Amino acid sequence: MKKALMPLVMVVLLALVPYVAVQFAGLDFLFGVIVPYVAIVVFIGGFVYRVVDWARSPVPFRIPTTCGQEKSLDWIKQNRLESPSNFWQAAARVLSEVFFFRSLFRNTRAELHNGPKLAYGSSKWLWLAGLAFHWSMLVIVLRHYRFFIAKVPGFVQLMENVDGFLDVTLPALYLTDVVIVAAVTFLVVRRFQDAKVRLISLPADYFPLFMIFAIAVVGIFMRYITKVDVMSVKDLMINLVHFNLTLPEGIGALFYVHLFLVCVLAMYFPFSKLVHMGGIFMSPTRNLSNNSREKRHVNPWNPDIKIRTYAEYEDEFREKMKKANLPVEKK
Amino acid sequence: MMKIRELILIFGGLALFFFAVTYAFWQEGKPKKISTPVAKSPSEQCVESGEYMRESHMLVLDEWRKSAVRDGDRIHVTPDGREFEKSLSTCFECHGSRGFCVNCHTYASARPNCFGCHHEM
Repeated sequence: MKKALMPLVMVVLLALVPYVAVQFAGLDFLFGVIVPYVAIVVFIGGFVYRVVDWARSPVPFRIPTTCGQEKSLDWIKQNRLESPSNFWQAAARVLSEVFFFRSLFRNTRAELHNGPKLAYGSSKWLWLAGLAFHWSMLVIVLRHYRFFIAKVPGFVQLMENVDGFLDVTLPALYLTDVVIVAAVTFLVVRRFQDAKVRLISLPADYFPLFMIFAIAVVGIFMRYITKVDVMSVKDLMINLVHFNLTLPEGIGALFYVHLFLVCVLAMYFPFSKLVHMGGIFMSPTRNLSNNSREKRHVNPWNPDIKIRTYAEYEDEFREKMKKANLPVEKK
Repeated sequence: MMKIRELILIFGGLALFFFAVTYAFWQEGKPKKISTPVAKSPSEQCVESGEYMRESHMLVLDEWRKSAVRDGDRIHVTPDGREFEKSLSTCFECHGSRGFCVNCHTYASARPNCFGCHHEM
């Protein structure tokens, strides 16, 4: 429990900092202008650093993890997606993982019954909640472009319409708002509820979940319950993207809580597990084709060893060997 | 040595990431202040304070819709005792017409569904 308590306390503290600072100390400029710029620089810089670092790491051999028949003789049917043998098949495998989480679809659960009997069963809940969470997150992030672009692009409006199609509550209820809270709740509960998962869960697993939960809940509050002045919020964001450092008056403190938590998450992103966003594309166990029987992959940093064959050795010492009555191959 | 194709893929991906994150920074034009329209007779007090109405007018309208349509209660009484008929037309007596709403609503991409039935243009 201590592993979950620390992150929880951290998130609460992080949420209180901007609230107190803006409400009582008048530090709007720090939290409205400076922190967001720092956050975006750290986010992009850190992300590029991580990806370039991975790109520079040598991958001398083919190490894909496969679970299908690799390309072999003509009459053996290859599993092209599970054991890709060329670039396009490997690309299809990576993209299907990115968009549909195929590896999570194979998730199983082990249960110990009386007997004792060990039983394995398919368990799709993690896959379902993970997929629901990530897609909601994507839609929510894209929807936020309405605050950053003066003339809101058509795809954002389309997304808002589809997302709010239920048309219940007055600012129309977004489905993704409901889904992301439900999915994150499931992902947290999953870590508490199963002893095996609880054992391997670390503060670094709870912290991003709590952060995302807090960000979503504060955002939902601002949209549906305790309002903030959307016009000032959009003015601020438009000013920021035009590098115009003026802060509009009268934005509620709750907005700064939302913004600050997002900034912290963005800065935390490149240096935590969240960077799997880039890592999924850079994993050699996923993005390589399984063709080491077809093609020889030579380790590029093999030292250049000078090889001396026996024939050369004998050429040098033949006369001496003959005198010593040693057998030689060439007379 | 890394293959050219890998370099193109990795740096192409990074460029795509960079563009997606900084998408808003590339937009054309200067930030311009959307003029907040002023009521016709600013001396008269609205049903709530201006600040409250800027943030939460939709809550007022939503409450009006429910109580007027479902409970037949068509009169809004403010805390200081003034009475208003619960109707968009009441709003428009001071706030002109639908045009009053459009500027900000387009800017914030908040599209109300009031005008599907009321005050069609």
